[in-house]
Amino acid sequence: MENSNESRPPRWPIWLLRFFLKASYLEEIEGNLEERFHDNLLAYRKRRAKFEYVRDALLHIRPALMRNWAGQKKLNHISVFSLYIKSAFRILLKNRAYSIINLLGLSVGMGVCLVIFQYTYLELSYDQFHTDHDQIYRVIIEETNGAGHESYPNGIGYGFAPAAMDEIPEITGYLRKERVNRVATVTNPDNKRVFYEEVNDLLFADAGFFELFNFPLLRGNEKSVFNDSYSIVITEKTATKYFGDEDPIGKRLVISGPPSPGEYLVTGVLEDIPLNTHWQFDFLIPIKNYIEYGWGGAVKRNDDWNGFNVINYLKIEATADKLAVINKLNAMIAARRTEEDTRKQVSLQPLKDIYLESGHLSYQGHFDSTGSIRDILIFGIISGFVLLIAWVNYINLSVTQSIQRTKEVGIRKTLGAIRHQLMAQFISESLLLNTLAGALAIGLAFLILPLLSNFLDKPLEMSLVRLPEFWAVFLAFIVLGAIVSGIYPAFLLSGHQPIVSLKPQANSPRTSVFRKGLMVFQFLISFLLITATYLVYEQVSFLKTRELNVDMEKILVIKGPRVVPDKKKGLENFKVFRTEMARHANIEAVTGSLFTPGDFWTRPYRQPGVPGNEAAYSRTFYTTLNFAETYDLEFVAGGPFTREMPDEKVVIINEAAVAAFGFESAEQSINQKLAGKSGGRNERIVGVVKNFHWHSLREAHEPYVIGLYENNLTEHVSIRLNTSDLSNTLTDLRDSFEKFFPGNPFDYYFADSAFNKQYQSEQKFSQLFLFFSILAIFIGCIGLFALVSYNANLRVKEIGIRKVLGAHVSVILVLLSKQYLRLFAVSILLGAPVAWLAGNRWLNHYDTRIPLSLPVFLVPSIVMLLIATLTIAQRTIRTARANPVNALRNE
Amino acid sequence: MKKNRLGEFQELILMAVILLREQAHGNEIQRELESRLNERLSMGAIQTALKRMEDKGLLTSEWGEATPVRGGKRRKYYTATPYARKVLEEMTQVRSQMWQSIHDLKPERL
Repeated sequence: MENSNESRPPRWPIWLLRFFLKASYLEEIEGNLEERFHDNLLAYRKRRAKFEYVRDALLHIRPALMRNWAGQKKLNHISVFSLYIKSAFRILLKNRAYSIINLLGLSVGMGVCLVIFQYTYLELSYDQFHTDHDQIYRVIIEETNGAGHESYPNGIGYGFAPAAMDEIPEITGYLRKERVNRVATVTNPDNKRVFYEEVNDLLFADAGFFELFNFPLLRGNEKSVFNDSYSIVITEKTATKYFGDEDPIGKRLVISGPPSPGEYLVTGVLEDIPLNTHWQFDFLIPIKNYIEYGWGGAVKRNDDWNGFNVINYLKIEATADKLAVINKLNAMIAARRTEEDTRKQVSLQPLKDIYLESGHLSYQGHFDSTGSIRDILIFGIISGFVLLIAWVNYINLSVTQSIQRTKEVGIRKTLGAIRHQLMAQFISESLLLNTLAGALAIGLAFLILPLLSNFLDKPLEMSLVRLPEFWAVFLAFIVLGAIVSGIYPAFLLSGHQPIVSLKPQANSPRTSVFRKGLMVFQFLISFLLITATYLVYEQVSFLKTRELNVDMEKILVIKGPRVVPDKKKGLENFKVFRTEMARHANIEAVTGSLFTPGDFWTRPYRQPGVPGNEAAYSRTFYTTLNFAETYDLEFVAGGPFTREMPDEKVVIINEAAVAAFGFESAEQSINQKLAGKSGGRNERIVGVVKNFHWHSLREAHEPYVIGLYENNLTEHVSIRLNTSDLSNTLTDLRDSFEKFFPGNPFDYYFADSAFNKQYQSEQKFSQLFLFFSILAIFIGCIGLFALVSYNANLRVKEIGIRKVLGAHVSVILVLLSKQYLRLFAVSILLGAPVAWLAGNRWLNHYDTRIPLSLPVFLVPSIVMLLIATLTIAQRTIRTARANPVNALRNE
Repeated sequence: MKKNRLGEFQELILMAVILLREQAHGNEIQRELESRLNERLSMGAIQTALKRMEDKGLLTSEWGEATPVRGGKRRKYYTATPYARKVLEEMTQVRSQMWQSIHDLKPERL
């Protein structure tokens, strides 16, 4: 056309019209304007014609011709949405493999999250089912002596709580409780059912138990169950255990073993104790029994403020000033102070904090179930990451799919779909997939929960599904997930220009920074998890192979006899049994002890001349003769206990104790005396052994004091075997045990398994990390595979041409893989410092630890590299080896 | 009757469409009316009237040929429906009746 620049009308009014007017009117109007412009060109000068054109165009912008700004209002929303869902279903079915992989990734991620959520929910609910839980506190005694400071829940005598109730009006209730770290047997004398009851199964408590707490009584009257000192309340499952289907009320139970053996009358049956409370027990005995008869009357004979200690719970009026109450309690204790050099003060720990936030207060010996807020946090964070990885994966997979769907988008757009309709469609797809995954996840959660339950040794159930609030949160999560994972693909896909979408060869976007970031994130999380798994595993293996200086292999521990009608005869039998067993061909040595590896008392000891407040807290337990031989302790001075030595008067200590008590050398300490904190004990050192690990290697060597207890029945008998013929030896042991101690159950375990129980939490962590890292890698690899496929598809032609021009398969492999390897390297560079810091922090909890060396990071990197390379190779080899003709022939 | 009422402008356009027969497209309608009325009209106003009448069922339309003059865009041709003719006739009738009544008035009343 001549003078084309001059004779064209301006373009911008058309843009305006296109923006404002109904699309269906545009063609006619634009045509009219153009035609009119040409007419005008003949009649007027160009400028005039242009002016007229603009004027005419702008005057089209009037309401009747404008597009419908409310957009979809005229469409039926529900039917449009159901169309989206229908097409989403078709698309999911069309790409079955992709849908299944995606669904799997999402539902596994969600399922794991659900289970962890359930666990966290349980852990956070401890002790909160009591109506007045916010008014109940546990009394913590803060003891200051000299420079030392100790705090424990059982630092004061049984006189404290009743006095507090009397003197301080704000205190409306109290409970004293006592649990004993010794084994007892309980017998039903009528049907001869007898069982060992573990340390924490017997609980001595005040009648306040029923007032303060909401443990419902199934049988018996709250007011009168504790009227008699020898009454006993049992849980439902215990009732079944001892009485079967009979009514236990008014029946007898005989308890043999400390602290208060005797015949008890069942006066009540408690509903089974719920899991989410910090005290689990089977028997409830009035504490007045303990005070009156405990330890053969020793409790009563002692001072009721400083003697035998109990744990106290106080109920304080909700409106009361807590600080004022604490001050009054402190004043009350100060007024009764007897130990000049020790100052005792109280702090009050809210009931709900006892389970999770007790720290050292929950140290062994108090027998409360404890949780760890740290574990919950770690669980939560990791499962959150797994969910994130699953979402990221969805994004990657969807974008991969987009290559096949650009045509669909192009056609939809050509047919008039607007961008937000397309986005709504893609989000609907994501919503559908997330909902399906959610439904699957609920099912999966029911499958995984028993595993977790087994793993944590805690009977968990999916109680959350009964809460309506849970469903609200769950739905919110599905919608959030749908949006989080759907928004990016929706943006990306709906943004394609139709013309570009329909001609894919024009469409060659490289992987965007955002997606590379996602990939790095996935690699990073996987790397951290694998490193954690490896680190914990290495550390635990390292601990297990350390020289303990005590030999626990091949030591069988049987529980000592408890039901012994005649004390003297029983003790006689006990000694004979031990000697007889020691003579057995398969047995090397036998010893009795109050505790087995990992367990001990903590007691202060000092040299007689040293002030009481400088007494060193030492780990103590009592044994019979032959202890050092059985456990293979190595003496550096002195020697083992001998038959002539008197009970509770001689001790063997370790090297750490030599230093702690201020002796110059092991030799020098022999025949020296040790005293308790406030005098009392008077024990002679007969031997010093090399430091040994009775406790886990997490801790450094502590002072140990081992006392002689030859003329007592001990809770445990340790037997060193020199054979692998376990079953015959066991039969002989059982026969002999039952001959000497009829009516006692024969119960045994291995010393090293008891010792290794201390590493349970580490092993659990290691397993947990392993599980999560497998999960993360699995999900991550799906994503990686998808990404590789995407890029390989985009470059099919390029590769074809390269091959035609003579490129070797290996060159192409490198070409296809190197960008992932780069991403991989980036994530390791980012992850290594995080892993180093966190790993170091964790390892610092251990006295004996592995160094953080290169292999700790190298091994996980190599493992990951291997997995990643395999995943990449899966796809790239196929692409690289494909016949270039196929790639180039089809357009 | 009320429903069928046409605005003055719409009525003019409708008549133009009928007059132009097969040639009744936007620009032609404009040219026809402009020449008859001897004044410039706004294309937007004509478009609006056409669309409104189409919505009311007075007009139907169909796409015609695309021409280079129109930048490759097709013309849209309008046809009056029989209903439109009926409405137009009714209106003209009412009008002429009223005009007759005006004529019949006494001169002083005028």
